[in-house]
Amino acid sequence: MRDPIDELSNFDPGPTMTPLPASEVRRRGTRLRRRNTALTAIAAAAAVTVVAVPVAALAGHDSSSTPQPAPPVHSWVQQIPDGFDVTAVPAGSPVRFDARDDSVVDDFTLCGRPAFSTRSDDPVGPATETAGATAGEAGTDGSDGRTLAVYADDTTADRALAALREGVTACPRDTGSTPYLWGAVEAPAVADGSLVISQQVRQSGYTGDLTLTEVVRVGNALLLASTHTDAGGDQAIQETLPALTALSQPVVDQMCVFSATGCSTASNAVDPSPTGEVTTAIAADFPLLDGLPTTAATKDFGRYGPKTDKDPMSFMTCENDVANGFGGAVERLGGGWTDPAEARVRQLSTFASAAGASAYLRQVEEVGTCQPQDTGSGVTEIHSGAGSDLSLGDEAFIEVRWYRHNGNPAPGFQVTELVRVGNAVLAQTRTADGYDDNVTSAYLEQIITESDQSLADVVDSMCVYAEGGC
Amino acid sequence: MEEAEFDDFYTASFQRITGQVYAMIGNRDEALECVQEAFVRAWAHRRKLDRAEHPEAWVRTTAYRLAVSRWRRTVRGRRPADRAVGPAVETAAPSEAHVALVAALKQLPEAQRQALVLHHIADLPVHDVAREVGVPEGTIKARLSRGRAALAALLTDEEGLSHA
Repeated sequence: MRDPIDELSNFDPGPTMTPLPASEVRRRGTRLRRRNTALTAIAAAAAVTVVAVPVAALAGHDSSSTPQPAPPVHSWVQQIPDGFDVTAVPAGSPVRFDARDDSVVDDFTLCGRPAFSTRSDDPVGPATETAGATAGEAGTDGSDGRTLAVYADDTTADRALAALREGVTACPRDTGSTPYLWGAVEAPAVADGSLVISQQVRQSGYTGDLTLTEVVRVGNALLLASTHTDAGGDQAIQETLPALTALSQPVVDQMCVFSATGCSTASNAVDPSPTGEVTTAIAADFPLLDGLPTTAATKDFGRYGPKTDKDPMSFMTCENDVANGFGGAVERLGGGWTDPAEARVRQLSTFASAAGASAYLRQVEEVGTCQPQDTGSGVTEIHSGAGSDLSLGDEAFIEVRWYRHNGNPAPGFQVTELVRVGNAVLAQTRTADGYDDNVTSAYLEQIITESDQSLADVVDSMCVYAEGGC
Repeated sequence: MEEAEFDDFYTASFQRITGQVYAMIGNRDEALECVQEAFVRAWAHRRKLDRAEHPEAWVRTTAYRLAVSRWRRTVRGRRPADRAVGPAVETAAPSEAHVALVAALKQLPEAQRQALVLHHIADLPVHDVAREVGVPEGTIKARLSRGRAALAALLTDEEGLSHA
């Protein structure tokens, strides 16, 4: 039998390769960076706009006004007006769209059922007129597509949006010839109604080929703006979404021509923040470690941190992959406590909005909640997600994974708890892998209670991120 | 990372990383193109690269993901190849033994192949392989053990066939 180690150690990659000159690699990298930077800047500018608009709207609102008479029957615009620019991009954007005569965003057929089409097989009804635009080669990394669809009236457009939302919700995993994962991404509501859809491919243990589609309704029109990236996973979604919404904003702005009130009033965006401002800074003396043990077996163990974290906390998925990322945080503070038999890790992350913080929490919940899995040798790994019994913060989530050996309690567990207060999320994992007592039902309850109680003081300190402050 | 430092890093590691990615995916030209693109992204994200403890691992992982993504798309036949990395071209490998090893590696489960390449070709200790792949060390040890056994059997089978 040939020794595979010898074969591998002497692996010959073949003749000398001729790579591009280093200067050319840098030139291409710089070009790529410029494109990404421009999109990020545009996204940031758009975020400010999104926050500012509802404040202005609230300021002008007179709650004491008498009821208005019913509006007259509206005559909905049935055709896309001349001059409507479906290729419009924010100033400074490096992206260039080419106009198309028809829809360019793929029809949505989810788990075999049509959920959206601009043609006759749409479950609601065909659009009266469509227009499209593309940037880049469809399906390649960084390509974009847009479809503007006009319907008979606002009710029909709203039903088309609702059908799409229902279709995505009913089909999280498509087991057809291409194994798609579908999801409705948490995002602030825009205009008269909106939805963000993620489509990814899950094959051979990898998730990738993300197509993110933003659907916005204004009056009797829908805009579907999509972008594609080779990457996948929640971090890719969070990194892609701001650029996508920023890129489509100039088209959404023009869509006021389809609204019931015309273009005289701003109708973009609803933000949950009453003041339109959020705190994202984390104080240097934030008590992140409160509630953690203060002693350890030896001086080599014990508390560490808190200190500013460069990278987002990682979480184990159901497949025991490490789900890196879940980015989007503005600032992070990390720390924890270790002992030979146990490790507790904490991270506080702040986000630009409460919606962003909530989306982060839901992403972690999604990857860690699944059916029991047979890991072999009689061991079953059990995952469970549960709400926090103590109702910590604005929302909270606990996921525990533990084990059974031949159906009996087995040692080792990991508990992951996330608590959101306003635009901040506190995450904690506690791992005792094989050293602790067998996990019985009663012990499970104890583990959850301990996790909740250990976080209470830190959650109280997170009030600075609450909508009403402390 | 400054220009000169990047250029040195690129020059010193390109061949090595390409060989490793080639062993992982079994296609030399595609490995070359994906590693090339990974270095483009490395320069675009050089601050991230500065923070990376092992820049070479960052480039290798990026190149491998590019290759996997492209393979997935090719398998599905739904989309054209990634324009950023160009079309894939199959070329002959340089020797019989080389062909046999690459062919055998390609028959292994992806996880075992990746562990074998990182440990035996990239010379990474188990701990570093575990960190790069994102699984516990015990899992890597198991993959290495099973992968070596499977590879030995595959190479022996191939040897028997070639002598028949």
